[in-house]
Amino acid sequence: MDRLNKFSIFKDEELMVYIIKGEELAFDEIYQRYSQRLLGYFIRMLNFDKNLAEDALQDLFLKIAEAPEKFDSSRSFKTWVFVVASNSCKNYYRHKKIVYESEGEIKHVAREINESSFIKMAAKMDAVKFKRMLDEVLNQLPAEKKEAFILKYQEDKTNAEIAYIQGCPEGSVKSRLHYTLKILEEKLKIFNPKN
Amino acid sequence: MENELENLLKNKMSVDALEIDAPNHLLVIKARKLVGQRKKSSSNWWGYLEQIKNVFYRSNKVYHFALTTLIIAGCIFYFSKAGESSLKISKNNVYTGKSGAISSSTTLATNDAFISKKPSVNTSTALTSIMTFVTIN
Repeated sequence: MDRLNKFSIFKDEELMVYIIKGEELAFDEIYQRYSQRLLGYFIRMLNFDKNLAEDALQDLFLKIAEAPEKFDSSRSFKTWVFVVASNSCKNYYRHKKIVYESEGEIKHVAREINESSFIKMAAKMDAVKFKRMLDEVLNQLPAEKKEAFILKYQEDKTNAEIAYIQGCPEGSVKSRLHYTLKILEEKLKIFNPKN
Repeated sequence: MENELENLLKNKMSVDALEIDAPNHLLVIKARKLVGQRKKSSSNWWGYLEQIKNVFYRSNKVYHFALTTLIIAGCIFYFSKAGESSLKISKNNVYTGKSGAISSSTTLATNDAFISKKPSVNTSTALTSIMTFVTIN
């Protein structure tokens, strides 16, 4: 793909206007900007099945190409594209019957997370092990909690943006994130030599 | 501390941490073609119709449309009334023209007859009297 695309200077929202007009290079630029992050999102959301994630990515860009008018130019493309991605994931969960029921959920998550011990434990832990543990935790999470976590820490979205993408109140996003952090903390304790 | 935790998780959750290659561009060949077709279709006649439709359905609100319809209806009503009255005037003109032509030609004819019969005699009489007056003086 030619990186010196003449559309590389345009904003995402402007590129969508050109896509509506049928500019293939504008489409290439959008693909260039978002394909890798979206693939990462799909890989994590679809239980690290890369082929399924690639199918989802293909479907998403097909949707954009079929009806780019659906994008409301007064909104941010960055957020909108994740709304579409989130809906695609829901369809995948529905049709492909991906199991997203949490196994062994933690019942009481009201207690605050001890962040200092969390960081200390994570620092002691081998990076590869930590990553594996993180992936395992993500696989066990219910879809909406997993999604909130991915959007927060992979995509650096604010709670308000996550709430918009997921179509829920901001309070729900906070509790979803807190829940996931609690599970991570519990998992990390296993690797803590003091335990 | 909160930032430290955030940074740690962001670092571990980054796309780079996934170690995946950039997705193949072949994945979106079909989608790219669809975008290209959009350009072709917008250049033909149907494309223009679509654009007009989009103007009505997207750019303009319902009240814009209603207001435009009212203005157009008003214009049609006004011009149709104006057309009717101009038609009446032209009809009147035809009648006036006809009666005028008859009356003026009749008048002219009578005048001509009068002129050819009477005033010619009067004029010659006047001229002879002038001449007589000159010779006497």
